[in-house]
Amino acid sequence: MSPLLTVEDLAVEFRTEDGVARALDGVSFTVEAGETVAIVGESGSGKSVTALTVLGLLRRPPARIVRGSVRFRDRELLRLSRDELRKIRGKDAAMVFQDPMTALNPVQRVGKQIAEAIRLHSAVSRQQAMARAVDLLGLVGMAQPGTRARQYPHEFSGGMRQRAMIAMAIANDPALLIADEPTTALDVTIQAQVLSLLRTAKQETGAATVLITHDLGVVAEMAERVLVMYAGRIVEQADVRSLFASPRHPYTAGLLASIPRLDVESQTLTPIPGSPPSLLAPPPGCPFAPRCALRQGRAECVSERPALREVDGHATACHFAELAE
Amino acid sequence: MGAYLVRRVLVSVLVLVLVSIGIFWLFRLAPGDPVEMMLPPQNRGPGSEAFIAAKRAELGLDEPVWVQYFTWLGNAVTGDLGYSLDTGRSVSDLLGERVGPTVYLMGLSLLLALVIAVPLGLLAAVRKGRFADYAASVVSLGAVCTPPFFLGILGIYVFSLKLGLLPSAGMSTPGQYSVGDSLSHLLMPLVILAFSQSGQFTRYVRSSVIAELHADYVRTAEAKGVSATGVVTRHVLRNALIPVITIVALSLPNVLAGAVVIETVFAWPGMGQLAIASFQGRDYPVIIGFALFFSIMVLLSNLIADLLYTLVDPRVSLR
Repeated sequence: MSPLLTVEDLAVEFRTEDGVARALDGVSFTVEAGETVAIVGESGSGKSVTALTVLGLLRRPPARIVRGSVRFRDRELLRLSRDELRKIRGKDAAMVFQDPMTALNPVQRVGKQIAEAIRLHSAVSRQQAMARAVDLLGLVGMAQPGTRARQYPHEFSGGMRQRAMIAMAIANDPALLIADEPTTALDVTIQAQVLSLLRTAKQETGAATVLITHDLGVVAEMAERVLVMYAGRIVEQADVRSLFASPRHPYTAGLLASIPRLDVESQTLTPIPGSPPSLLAPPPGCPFAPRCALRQGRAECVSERPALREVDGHATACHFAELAE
Repeated sequence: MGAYLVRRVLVSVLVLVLVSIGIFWLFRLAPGDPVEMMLPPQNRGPGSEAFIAAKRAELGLDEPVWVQYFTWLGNAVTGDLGYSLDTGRSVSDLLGERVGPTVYLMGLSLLLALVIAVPLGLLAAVRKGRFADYAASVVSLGAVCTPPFFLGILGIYVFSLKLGLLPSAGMSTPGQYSVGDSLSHLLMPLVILAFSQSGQFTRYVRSSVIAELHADYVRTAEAKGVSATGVVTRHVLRNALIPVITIVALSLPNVLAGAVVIETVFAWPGMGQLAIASFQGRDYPVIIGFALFFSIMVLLSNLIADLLYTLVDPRVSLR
């Protein structure tokens, strides 16, 4: 059976005032039914653009899909009409956004916003949809869901709003749930609750989950497989244990080294020096070369772009992956 | 809410007192007084001076301004706004018979302006940077830039004089009261006044909708599978109209000022005509009555705007 989602050689550009930025440059990956995949990387690495492209939510212009393919349940999403895509969005593939404070319509009751998601994809009455919305709010752990459904977003805390967003996303039993930094805007204590809720949601719906985050703690907690993105490319891909135990790309190694640890006595953090390359004029070779600890002056790194290849069960885009640790 | 209303009314009364002091004092700084206006210099002979002095004393104009003011205020709180120096009629009667036509014309034109501006602004926003947007811009900027009196004169020339389709003056033809007749008198002043206002409103609706289209909740709605039309009608429009309420309330003095001009052009028997006549004749009691009416309209429209806010935006509550 083919995977639930197959993204192949996806390239996306943004027109900006300073020129054309290549936000995604040949991104390929698959998501199997029911699995949890994390996409990690720093700001601007292309995580969110990947998610938005998959669901057809990119604003075009300024964005432009240069090439590639997105197959979901054996249908090519990039070639679907707006209306066909709309029937999939919110039904088979749903999304939870980063900032729950602004992601809900401030002048509409929360229950109505959830009921709208239901009524868009199934022929039920207003009352039935509302009853289901109340059930969903109960399912995501909200006390007094009936009362809550009649309230407006400003009467909810951040964590409660994210619960409501998740209720909305799972309303139609999606096969794919994309969560874009779902915990970033929340307090640490609330983060844990939302993560466990995402796990519950997954159990309820059996949806494959794509979790976009820059928080490696979240990755370790949730994911089965990890994609590491850098400057619009996937630089490493592996199952979560093996990635944390023995990274095969110097960027991943740098990310892991920069996590503060309680078990090692150290006064300072270990950052990756430098900053990501400009997407307007990417360097010809490996985009990570200027910051790479492994490069040590090798000419290949700045002349030739490394392709993803398999090393020790990882996919890695590094000429010298065998030397990485 | 009750306490809020009481507080607002008290503040409004204070504002009205301040407005009346300002107007009272300012108009007495202006050269000329009503008695001199009644008796132009070329008509004066011996004894005129004595007549003017007697008339001034009779009207109380020889007293210090603050004494005159408190006399007026004392009468005003009992509901007596004084008598016109020109016609001798009671100011409240004069205003009373003129309020109706003005409020009628203003209210309808405000409504029509919104009926034009909301769809036009929405269309321009949704089609931003395309033909419909530029077309809407041309129309709305034209509306902002063209003075209503010019359109009034143009309208009279074309539709009354050349085509003979519409009457050029008044609210109705004397002796012939019918709905059709009233409507034909109303049409030109109404459309011109509404068109002038709609330009500004269109621009505000457009920018407000454009701002809302970039809000996060729009993307949430799209992710749910809401259609482009549904996003605009079910989510964006209500959010976008919240700031427009304020703009409409703030524009009320403009509408009133526009109405004064249009009333003069079309001989509409409203406040505008009365105001201009009383300014020219230094008819102090009528001027103050008019200023108070103007102030009450502005205060009232602001109060209505605030109340509308609580209806439209659940985040706002009045305390």
